[in-house]
Amino acid sequence: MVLDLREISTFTDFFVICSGTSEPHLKAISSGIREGLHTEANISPLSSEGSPLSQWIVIDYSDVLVHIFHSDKRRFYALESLWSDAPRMNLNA
Amino acid sequence: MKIGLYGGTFDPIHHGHLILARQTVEQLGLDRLVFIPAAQSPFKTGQALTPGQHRFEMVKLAIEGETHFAADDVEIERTGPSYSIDTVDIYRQAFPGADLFWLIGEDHVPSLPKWHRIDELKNRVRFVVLSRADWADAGPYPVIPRRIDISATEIRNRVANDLPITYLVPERVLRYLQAVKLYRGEEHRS
Repeated sequence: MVLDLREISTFTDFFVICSGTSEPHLKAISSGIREGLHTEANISPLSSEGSPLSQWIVIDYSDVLVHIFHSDKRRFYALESLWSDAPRMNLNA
Repeated sequence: MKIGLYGGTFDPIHHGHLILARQTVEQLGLDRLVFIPAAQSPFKTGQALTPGQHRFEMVKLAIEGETHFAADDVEIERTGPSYSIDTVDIYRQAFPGADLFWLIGEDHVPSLPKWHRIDELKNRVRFVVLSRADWADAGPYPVIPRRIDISATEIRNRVANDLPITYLVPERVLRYLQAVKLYRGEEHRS
């Protein structure tokens, strides 16, 4: 799920929100994103917070913030409710 | 990006909260204001709160359709003691670089020094004091002044005594608390 915040927020343009089902899964998604963007576009994140153990990882690419949640973690819903007016896109990857 | 975090028991949420919230959004130029119903307060251990799910549901009903307002059940879902700083850290992680404001009632200003890890908290948010009077003893914090006198205690007592609370709470909140028969118990009778 992608939230388009360009009309709403000044600090980032897009939230990419995805979830994994286990700690290794979260770790794999996080490394996949970082390595993929690094090799294909030579982009590195400004920062990365959280760990698979905390069941929530945020990778900050400035214009795009990637949130990776454990599917048990309900923070996802709060993020969505905060941006209820943001256009959203579903990506079927 | 300015985000206001409005913690409180909201037992129940009423027009006083909502009027102050709107004024805060306008006065501080907030992009979003999040109502965060509190778990049992460490300072009010004697007073039993209505279960969090009901208080959260009433908040959601009260703010339905308001794009500047949101509700978050992070504190009532937390197991163990619930501290403001843990909530603030979640918002810092979710919104790096955002300005965070923590709204507190003026009655909480004297107890601020006792808050868990208050020195770190002060560095991570800007406190804003909501005042129900024309003046407030707010110490160094900015004040949102609004003379409005609706109390949740009065609302609970009126319900317990079969008195109407129309005009005090939003219609949708009224219907919800009637439907689930909140505040009808003896403990609220004054």
